[in-house]
Amino acid sequence: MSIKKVTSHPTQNEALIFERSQAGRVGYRLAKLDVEEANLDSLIPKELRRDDGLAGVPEVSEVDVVRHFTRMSSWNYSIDLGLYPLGSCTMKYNSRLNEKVARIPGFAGLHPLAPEEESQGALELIYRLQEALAEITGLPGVSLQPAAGAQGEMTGVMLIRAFLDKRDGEASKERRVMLIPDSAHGTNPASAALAGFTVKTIRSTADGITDMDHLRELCNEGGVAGVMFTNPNTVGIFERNIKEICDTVHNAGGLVYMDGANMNALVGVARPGDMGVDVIHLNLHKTFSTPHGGGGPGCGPCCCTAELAEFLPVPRVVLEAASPDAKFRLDYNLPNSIGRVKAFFGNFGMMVRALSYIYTHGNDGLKEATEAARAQRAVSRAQTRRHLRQTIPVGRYARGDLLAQEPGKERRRHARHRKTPDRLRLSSDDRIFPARRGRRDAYRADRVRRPCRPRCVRGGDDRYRSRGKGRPRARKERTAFDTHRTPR
Amino acid sequence: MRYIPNSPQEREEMLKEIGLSSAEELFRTIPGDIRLARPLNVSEPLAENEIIAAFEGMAARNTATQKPSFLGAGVYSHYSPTIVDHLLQRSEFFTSYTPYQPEISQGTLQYIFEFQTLVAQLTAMEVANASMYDGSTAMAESYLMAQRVTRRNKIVVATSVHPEYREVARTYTKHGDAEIVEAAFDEATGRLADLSALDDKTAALVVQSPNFFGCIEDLSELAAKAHEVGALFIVVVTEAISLGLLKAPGACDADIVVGEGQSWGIPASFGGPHVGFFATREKFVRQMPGRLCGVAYDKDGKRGFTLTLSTREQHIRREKATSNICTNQGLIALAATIYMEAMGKQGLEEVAVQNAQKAAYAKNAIAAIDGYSIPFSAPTFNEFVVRGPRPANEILEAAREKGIIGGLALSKYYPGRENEFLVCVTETAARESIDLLLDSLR
Repeated sequence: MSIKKVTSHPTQNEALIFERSQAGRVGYRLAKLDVEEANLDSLIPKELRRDDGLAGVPEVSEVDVVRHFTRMSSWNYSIDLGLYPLGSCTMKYNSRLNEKVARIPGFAGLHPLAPEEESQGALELIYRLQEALAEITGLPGVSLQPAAGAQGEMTGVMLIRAFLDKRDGEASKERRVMLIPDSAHGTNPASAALAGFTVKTIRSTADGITDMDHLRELCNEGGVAGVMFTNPNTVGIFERNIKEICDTVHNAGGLVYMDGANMNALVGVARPGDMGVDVIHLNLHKTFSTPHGGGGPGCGPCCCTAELAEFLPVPRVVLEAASPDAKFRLDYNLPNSIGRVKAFFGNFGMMVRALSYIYTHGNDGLKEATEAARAQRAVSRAQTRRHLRQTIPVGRYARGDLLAQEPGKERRRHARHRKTPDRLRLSSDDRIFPARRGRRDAYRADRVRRPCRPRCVRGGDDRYRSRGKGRPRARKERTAFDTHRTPR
Repeated sequence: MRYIPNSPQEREEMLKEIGLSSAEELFRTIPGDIRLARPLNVSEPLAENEIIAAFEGMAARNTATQKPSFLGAGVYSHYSPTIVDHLLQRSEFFTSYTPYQPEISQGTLQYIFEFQTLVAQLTAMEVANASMYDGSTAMAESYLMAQRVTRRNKIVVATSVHPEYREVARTYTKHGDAEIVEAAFDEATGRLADLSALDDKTAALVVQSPNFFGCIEDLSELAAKAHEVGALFIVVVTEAISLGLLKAPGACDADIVVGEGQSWGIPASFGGPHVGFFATREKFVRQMPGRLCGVAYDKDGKRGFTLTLSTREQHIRREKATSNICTNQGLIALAATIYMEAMGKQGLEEVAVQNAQKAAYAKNAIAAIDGYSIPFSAPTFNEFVVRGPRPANEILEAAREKGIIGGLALSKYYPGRENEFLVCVTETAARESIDLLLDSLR
């Protein structure tokens, strides 16, 4: 597949906004102050005010800003340009309908501290999404407060901790081991650590699933608070021993946490609650199509059994039962709750999008999406497997993302790109921040060295890296990553 | 189903290619007894116009959005230039992935770099990260970082820090060895007063400015007190617009500055998604949570951007990471970046001044009404506490009947302060609405 750009902007070399800044340019206009202006010194004494004149903050016009971001955007690859064959973080089409409904002024403009009776629509939306997710996961206790998957995980393991502390009292001190498979995403152990657990790693078998013997062995060592596993796991294989895993851990006195990163493979087909899972988090940006947005915002609902629900974060959105005109309410009275994990109620805007996705698909459509994803995966797996001529042991790298690249090659390429970043920010004496030093062009290596030839900001892979003046460039096939090419 | 790219026929062919006869067989690895034998009990599929109608119906029941409002307390109403929402809806931004592959993410990486730089400039700190979930979690992470940096475990936090932020920080720290001591504010000034808890076991002194009551703290003095005992000085900012006018925390010798960037052009959206920011000194950078984007040069000296210092993060360090954060608030950080750049040097200052002026107008006018007073004497920015002649809930209820949301009753978070409420006046409050509020109080 190749993507050709229709036109290129004159320079692929978009400077930092600080380098575009020109004193006196403005890109905004505020309405005139409509109250009598007081002497500022009488409101806020001078010593409490800034005296640096906001040095360094850019001065640009509106069109400068629009061009700046439009040009930068052209350097990104995105789901709207094509497939994103990622594994641990599935990318879905981001519906524009979802964007539209999230921007309805009645949602977007709503203050979280507005009186409950004047926020009924938002509370209703949260409640409806909670109900839908409870049905999809088979786990009735739902909190939408966590801001992203990792926070959902943290919430989940804290529920386990709270449950054990209540059940075992002092003795729960002896139960501080969280079992995590070696293939797990890094947030799993990091979240477990935040809840005060130590981590023991479970080995995988040669065909990529949890090693049951090792799990039993670890459970027999004692002190097991629970297990955190992903299903299908991070190499894409369904843990067929799931019930046995749950039973083993439950018999050892622990609870089962499931990372919902791969729920795409299960929605409408099987429910974690029916497998024996106690608590799960979902990622609305993976399974329910809210945009990744270049790294967030996410929303990481935490779903749990009825037994664990009393520990969920405050406040919870509940429906006032048996009232003739149904009223939604925030319930703060949860003495056993782990507490708040985020201010207000979570990333509400993402909840609006996710509910819109669920309504668009409906009950059949959600399952159909799961089937389509499984079918695509199975086919691409078969094709890639042929392509690799079985050079990689089946099972170990069964997932699309790992299969699609030949690991050795990929790693080498990355190694070439990793240069030590030498600055984290621009400061007044930073060598790439010339505006305040009066030597505007002195360090703009990308422009000044060859002023007549607009160049790439960075080289992309080797094919597109300039080899110096006059040297012919290799022009092999174009790829989707072609946006860095210098126009000729 | 319209979001599924291939047709049933195509899918059948695909199944044939891999030797399966039905879609059910795709799931044969899932044992039968845990398969769901019935359809999910969720809504029927709805058409676009049905969904819009249903959502507009729900949104209409959020009647608060139809009234002038003087609510602040961590979420502020500010004008956002049209280009902010327009530019962030470019597909290449909002449908892109986390920038782990720099060669296809330069757009994202460059704006993160600019976001970090702008945050660093406005807070006058040396480094800032690519964002946190929100102000509350940023503050919670700052506690953990201070403990790592100082190897001490006591955190002294002012009770005038946003109550929900303190709740979140309690959740984050309750399984560690942190000892959290809350320090009282002065009843006359509204500023942090009681520093008796500061001692040589203190990891950090945490203060919000302007604080929850809108009072501007004397940061330089507090910084000196914290540094005297070897503690870090952490400043929390919930109203980022104040940075355009007030002395930057970094200039007051803060060690960590965390806060909420919602004011930078982000809609209230019932409390999220917003964007937390986190800035500190360069010497602490390896203890910092979250993603960082840095400048890098290729072998020809050409500049590019890449995520850096990832060895702090969970995908490498796992349980020893500085934080469990992974996905952050990328797109909202983009919105904030566009806002700050569009407003620019002049705009950020002008909007801050307008907030201070309008709030002062309202504050003075309310103080002049019989029975009303301003209990705290410290200077305020765009928020202030009003003490009324009767319970605040009654006053606000009466205002609501007149079609106005007059503020937040403090008793929600501070039991015992029944007659007080918090009023926030930003540049979006027209003089007519302010006068309406005054009328409703009279």
